[in-house]
Amino acid sequence: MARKYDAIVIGGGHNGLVHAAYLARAGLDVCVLEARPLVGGATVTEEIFPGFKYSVFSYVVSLMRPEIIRELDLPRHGLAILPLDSTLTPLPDGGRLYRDADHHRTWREIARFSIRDAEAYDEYGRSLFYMARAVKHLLGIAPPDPARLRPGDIRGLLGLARHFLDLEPDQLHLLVKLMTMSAADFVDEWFETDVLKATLSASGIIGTFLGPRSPGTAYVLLHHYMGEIDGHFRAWGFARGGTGAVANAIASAAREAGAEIRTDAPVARVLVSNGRATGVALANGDELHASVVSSSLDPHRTFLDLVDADELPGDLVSAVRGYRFRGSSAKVNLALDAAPDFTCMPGHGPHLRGAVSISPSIDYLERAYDDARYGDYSREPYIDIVIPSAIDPGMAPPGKHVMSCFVQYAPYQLREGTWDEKREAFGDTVVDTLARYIPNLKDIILHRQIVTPLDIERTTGLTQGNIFQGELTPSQLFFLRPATGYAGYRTPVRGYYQCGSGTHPGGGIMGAPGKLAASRVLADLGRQRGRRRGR
Amino acid sequence: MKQYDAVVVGGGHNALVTAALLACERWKVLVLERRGVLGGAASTAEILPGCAVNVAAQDAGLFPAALAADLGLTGHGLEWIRPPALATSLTGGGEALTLWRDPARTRDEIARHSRADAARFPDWADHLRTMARVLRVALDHPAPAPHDMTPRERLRLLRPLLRAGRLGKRTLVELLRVAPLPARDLLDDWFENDALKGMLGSTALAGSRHGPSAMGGAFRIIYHATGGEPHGFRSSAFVKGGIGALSAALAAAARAHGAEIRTGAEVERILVDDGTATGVALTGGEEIAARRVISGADPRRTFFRLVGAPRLGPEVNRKVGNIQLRGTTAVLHLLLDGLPPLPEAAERLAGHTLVAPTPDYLERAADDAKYGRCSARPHLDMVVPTLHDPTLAPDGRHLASIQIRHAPYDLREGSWQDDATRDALLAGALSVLDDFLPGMRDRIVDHRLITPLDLETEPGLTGGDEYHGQMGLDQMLFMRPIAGWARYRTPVEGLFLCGSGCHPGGGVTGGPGRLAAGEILRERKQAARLSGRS
Amino acid sequence: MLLETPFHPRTAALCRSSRWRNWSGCAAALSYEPGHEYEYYAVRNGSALFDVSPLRKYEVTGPDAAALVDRVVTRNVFRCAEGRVLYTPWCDEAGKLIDDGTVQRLGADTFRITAADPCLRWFQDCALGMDATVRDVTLDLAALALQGPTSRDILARLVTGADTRSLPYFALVQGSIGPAPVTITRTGYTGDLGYEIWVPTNHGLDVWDALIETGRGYGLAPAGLDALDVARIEAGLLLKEVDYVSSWAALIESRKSSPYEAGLGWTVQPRPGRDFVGRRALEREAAKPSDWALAGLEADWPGIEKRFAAVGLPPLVAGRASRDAVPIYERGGRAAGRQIGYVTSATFSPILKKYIALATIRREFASPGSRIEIELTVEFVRHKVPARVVETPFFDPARKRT
Repeated sequence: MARKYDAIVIGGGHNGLVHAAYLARAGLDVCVLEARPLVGGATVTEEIFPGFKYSVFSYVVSLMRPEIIRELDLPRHGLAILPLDSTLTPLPDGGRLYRDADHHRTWREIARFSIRDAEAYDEYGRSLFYMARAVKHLLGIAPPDPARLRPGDIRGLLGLARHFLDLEPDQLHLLVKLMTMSAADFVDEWFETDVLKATLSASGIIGTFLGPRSPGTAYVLLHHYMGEIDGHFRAWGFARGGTGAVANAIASAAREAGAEIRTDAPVARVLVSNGRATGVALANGDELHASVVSSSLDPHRTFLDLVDADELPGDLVSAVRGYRFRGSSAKVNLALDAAPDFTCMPGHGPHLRGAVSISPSIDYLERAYDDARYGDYSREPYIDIVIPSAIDPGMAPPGKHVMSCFVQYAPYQLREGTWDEKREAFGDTVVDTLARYIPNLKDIILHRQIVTPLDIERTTGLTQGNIFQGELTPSQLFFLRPATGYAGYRTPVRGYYQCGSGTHPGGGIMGAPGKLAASRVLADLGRQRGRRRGR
Repeated sequence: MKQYDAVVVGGGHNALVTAALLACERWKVLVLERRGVLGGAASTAEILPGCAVNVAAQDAGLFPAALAADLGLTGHGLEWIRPPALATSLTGGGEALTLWRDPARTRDEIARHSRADAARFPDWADHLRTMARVLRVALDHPAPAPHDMTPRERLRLLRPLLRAGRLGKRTLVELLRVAPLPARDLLDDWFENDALKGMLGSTALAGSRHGPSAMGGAFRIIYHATGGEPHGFRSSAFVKGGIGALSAALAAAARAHGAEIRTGAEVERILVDDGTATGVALTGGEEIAARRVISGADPRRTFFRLVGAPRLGPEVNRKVGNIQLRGTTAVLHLLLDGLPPLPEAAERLAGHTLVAPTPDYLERAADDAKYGRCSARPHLDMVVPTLHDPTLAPDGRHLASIQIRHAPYDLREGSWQDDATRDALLAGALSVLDDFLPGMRDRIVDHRLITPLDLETEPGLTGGDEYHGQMGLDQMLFMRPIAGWARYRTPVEGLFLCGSGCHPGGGVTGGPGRLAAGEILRERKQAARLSGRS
Repeated sequence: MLLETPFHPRTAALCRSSRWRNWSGCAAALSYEPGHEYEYYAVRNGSALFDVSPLRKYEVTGPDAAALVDRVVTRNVFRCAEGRVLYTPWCDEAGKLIDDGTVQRLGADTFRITAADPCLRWFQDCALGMDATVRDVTLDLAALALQGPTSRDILARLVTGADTRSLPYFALVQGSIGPAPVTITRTGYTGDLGYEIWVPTNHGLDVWDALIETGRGYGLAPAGLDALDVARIEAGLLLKEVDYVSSWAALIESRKSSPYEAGLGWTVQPRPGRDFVGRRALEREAAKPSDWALAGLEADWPGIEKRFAAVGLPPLVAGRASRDAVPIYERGGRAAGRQIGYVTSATFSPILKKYIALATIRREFASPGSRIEIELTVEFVRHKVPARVVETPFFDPARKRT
């Protein structure tokens, strides 16, 4: 006899787990179904090479909503976020730009290139603080639907209008610029130093299939600035024990609230009868029943794979077909026998505890994008590096290190060949690029794991390996995410909800979609109960 | 000293529209144009012997019929030409794909390349028309200025919203979704054929330096369809006698209502006294007093050259300095002794003739511009005006005006003053022509190349930007010309802008000129009401 | 990582307290001895030598140099003759304070501006369209402040090539100290007779050594920021980010101050046809004054003693100056107890034997004689003690300007 739950959550990634935890805390009998043997989705730590723990996919934490950490009491469940407060950009000529929390030192470092830029840097930081403050409001609300205009939508839209009109004019204008400009043009309004501009705009291309000079990337830059740790915007951190520790902490909170989490339990489809979700069928044929089914998978899987297209309106199906994923990033995880030795900052130093960005110039990033646009991976890619073992000694054996390299661009769709054929050559390209800045690198590599967009898709199920469950472009944000009229976490199938990064406010280890979707589910259940009681 | 109600700086088409509309309201208006000809970037001049050449702009399809009627331009000699062919894309090896004003003919033509695309084209044409209609509503009204509006003005804002809403709430939201898309994504959603996608996508290159994969291209495609019926391509119409005839008609309309227009009168600076514009000073020393000074020049030229940066605050100057003025177009004018040997040339070449064979081709052309180089294989947009108006060239001769993209104003290497740079651009364009229109080169009798630097020195377009500011979503509506300055006012009291640098933007649209006039009149009425009360 | 000033080899050796502060990224001694009393009294009785090299220094040159400086600052620079110095703030376009410092007119077309924080980009952007060049010379110039009644005699013995003895208040002269070319300005941050000495970095130590050597007979002591803080409050001089928040650092509008609100209304010097940054906003404010003003306060000493005595303690308010904001309340009347402002800087004045403070306060309470109450915490318990508004400077010896 199939077990009956109040709610089933498909996918045990961080959003699915957050969603489940909130539902369970509200007293629902919840079951999370995860296809892989471990929870986390793209938020996992795995010991691929003995003794070395890789944060296989996602590698830094910042966007996780502070209210979720607080409400789920994640520190008690083992979450510890260690600060990552410097960024080193090595240059091919042995020079560097190093920025850290020491304001004056960073000032002097930038002033080596341009005093004007050093001064503008403070102003820039302040402006983005205003912007992060302005959009923070959006992270906590479900998007209204301007195409439907029910009373709630009108209230929502008026609320938004008021929120934005309350901003100082300059701030509103800056926000519009962020929504529409290219990252390169945006930083151009402040700075003249190429390496500084490049490193700042690099956060605008992460996870996108756009170059730094393409409009729309300024928004992604802001998206990466909205992170908040202990009340500070743009604080980046690293989870002790690797990114998987985030998922484990949320899972632990969910379990404590009574949720059941099943791993190795891939879902084949959602059971629908009379336009209502009634449960799910697992790949092994088992059926589980529930009146609420929430999918934390991306829109493609949520709507095209799990549900029959007949159950959905045509406009949704065609919108989801047109929804853009275009995975563009890869990971290379390295186990190192010793610490990497940078030409520009030799030896052990605080720079190893921060991020290292291979982004020497805007042109460098743009060229990397050009390669991808014509269907190949970048010959000289943008790489964002962290060395978790320098922050958290538990990640590698003593004296040895793990190095996590986020690489862009690696387009999911190659014009020639396949990723299975090109995986190693791509790995070589990344290592060769790195070795230009880290001469001892090739001698100390004990093991390397290459995670191409195809591997991301195969392992985590993220369509086309897109780390955000769909591009974060203005056409796919807020009430347009994932599709016009379907952004409120509900779906046209009653009882079937979406709670993944493919919904507002989007990707990154943020947890907001999971939480906002949970509020939607609980509000709907409350309304039903009210109605029943009314009868 | 003679005092005018308004002095209009520059005789471009928007400036003439403003002057004409103010003159209609019995304002005493004086237009001052530096050059001998009127029209600015929309002028026709004899830059090849015996020819009337449209120096920069070729197509006036965005100029609204209603405005032309209001000003009675037909009565002042304006005559529109709308040839049956809208555009012909040269796809290499002497092949061509033509879009016609006749939908059936277009469908048949596309069907030769792709049946699926032919079937979808009517829907696309509908879609584009609908999107353009919604956008048109925004372009017809002054841009909302959220912070400077009284509650009554905010209510007035509802009017266009409702008007757009009548076209469907969904449509409005759809425009929000579609406008930021890259041209390539938009077209990929519709079509499979590269030639068709290249052709339609080429419109997205006009007015910006971005390639077809950059976001916001869809907006430019829609923007260029906001004039007359776009037929799935863009609003296109030519003017009998050259585009300068439109400017001449505008000037005639303005004069008819009493406006004075002086050519060869260069404004050296705008006179500002204690933060208020009081008139202009001409080169040569003549000073002219006016209650309002209205500048048709681009915002950077207006503020940095005519007003002077020290008269503005440093924060304002930063904003003026940050306007993206990105000239990317050179124009090559050719005098031909006959039409190029293309089958049905006279018919097919009557509209725009494009070298934009695939989206990738456009992509690579734009790539070069990103790194500050001219495109090795540029995108070309050719118009042969003599096909519908033989009087423009000596008997038996044809004129071909070719816009070359991209030819960035700010080259990283070399300079537009070097012959080598100009020769290389010319050679590049001709070699592309050889490939796509074989035999064309043998017809060339004479040529004249207009570089982005020439566009800066002659019509006075800063950075050679014929749109007075890149047509990106970040420089639209109340973000144009500078965030918070919509509504044509400036930090200098009594100084207004009316050029393409303002909302709704560039192209031969008359829009900025019309809306500026409306706002200036409204401001005057308000001032009169206030002073009447006190 | 703190930078060392050009005088660090000397100051580090002298700094027996090991008490340093980060001043604009440089290590600056708070006091050389464990306490700063001796250093303070050197300012008022002998001479104190302060290393003020972390100040930002800018050089403005070119035919439009005077026009540029006149456009940037609130004071009328056309009234600043060659060889004179101006103290002035500068504002953003909204008329809010950015920073303050001195403008030295070295020549018809040459100025030097000192600032607390970096301003190069601002000055350069103000220069757009003008024929003037602004250079950051912070690292090229070392700076010392020699402050105190004997400073004139010390300098007179050292400086060659210039008459410093007759140098008027807020004037400058160029000369030499030993091999070092120096600019001497009769300026300072102590409200006493004093000078500031600007010297090329490579000559800094020569000048330091010469001053210490000659100063020995004149009661000269190297002094740190603690002593300076007490002295500047007595002189009623503002400290940026303490007594006002720069409009660039203020995250919210209400934290910004106009010159009028910071007691610097006298520095706003319009002139027919003069257009300086912030002029329009300041004109509006002059016509319709802000609700806020700066005031000097003098706390009621018996009141303080009484509060301490109640718990069996002597009045423990002496010591270092305080930069903690402390609420000010309305005294008496119907709204007694309503907060009407806050103290920004406070200190016990060793020379006046009074507890004095600089405060931001509602304008209606800002005139001298106005009686208010300030908060005082004694043994972890908050109290209110009476205080009254007085004129600043609190301490203003005639020798400062004669």
